[in-house]
Amino acid sequence: MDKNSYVSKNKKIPYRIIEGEAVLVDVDRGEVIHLNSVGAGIWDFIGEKTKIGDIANHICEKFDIENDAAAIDVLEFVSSLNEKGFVKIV
Amino acid sequence: MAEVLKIKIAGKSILLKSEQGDLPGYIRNLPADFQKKALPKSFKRKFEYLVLFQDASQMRFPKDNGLDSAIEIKNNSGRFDVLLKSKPEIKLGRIYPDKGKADFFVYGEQLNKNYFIPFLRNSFQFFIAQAGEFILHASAIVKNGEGTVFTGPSGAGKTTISNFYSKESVLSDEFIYLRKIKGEYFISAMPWRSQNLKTCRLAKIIFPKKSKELKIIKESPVAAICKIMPNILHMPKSFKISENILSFLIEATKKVPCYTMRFPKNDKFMEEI
Repeated sequence: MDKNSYVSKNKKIPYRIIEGEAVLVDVDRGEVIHLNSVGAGIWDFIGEKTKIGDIANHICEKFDIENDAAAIDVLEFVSSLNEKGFVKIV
Repeated sequence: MAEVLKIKIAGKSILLKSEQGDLPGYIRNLPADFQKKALPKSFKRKFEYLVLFQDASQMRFPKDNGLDSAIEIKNNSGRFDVLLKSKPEIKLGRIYPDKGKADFFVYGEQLNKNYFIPFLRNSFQFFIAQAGEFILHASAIVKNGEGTVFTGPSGAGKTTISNFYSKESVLSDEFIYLRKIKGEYFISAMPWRSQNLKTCRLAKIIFPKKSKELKIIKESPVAAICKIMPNILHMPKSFKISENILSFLIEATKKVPCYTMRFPKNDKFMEEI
């Protein structure tokens, strides 16, 4: 997975975004995940087929942070979502 | 001979029936709490349990006390099979949440009698979850007619807190039924483990945590939801039910304030809540 990879949300994950934070439910494992405002911003931006590089650009604009640092953090975060099955590479 | 028994749990009318013979004694003689109020003549059943007698001749049932944690509930295309974790070949029953119906299997008269109440409790949870309502591992106290719920993992301090209150003030020290009635949120104790079968308006939810100093912090709706959901009794493994519960909790946590309370083991917290 790199900044040119495309990801999509796993449609079997119930979630809600409220007041800028997100709650995701892993139904099979019975786990509940809390995403802070940046995590929720990333999750919200992921659609049917979203390029990881575009997510990083979006987060930089939204939270006024440097692109290089954001790209690494976004890639790490999306990889962890992928490992947990919340997103998949398309 | 068929036999039918009508009971109420937290205001919900429930029919228990057997089409093959008399109901086992442990069902017919459910604790008095279940049948405390006289049932109205026009009993309209909300949920229905069919008791089915199974061949027990080859059955080796583990000798235990029927703990909730010994039960596993598996989604089988919308029907939920209730199994024993230690012996998955033993089916305790089936739940059909959409229909408000469940089948409970009876192996002999006594073999799995300890599992009837856990089965009732867990299937009830599946039925009410259709409307996003749920049973929570929690203690609750009533003060001036309003309820405060304390929920968290084992050891967080739920029971420690309820021990500071008089018996009359404690709604429950283990299970609370949380529901919405006409836009307001209410809590009820459950009859299988309760001293006090009242229902009262829910004023706040507290997540206790033992600590050296008393500190109370308001939680955001999302943080509160993430702390409530892991304490739901047997959270059904179903996308639709999880969606229902999320929707319910979003409205509830907007209306009902939620706090994390770090507290030392003394009664100082009582002034704050």
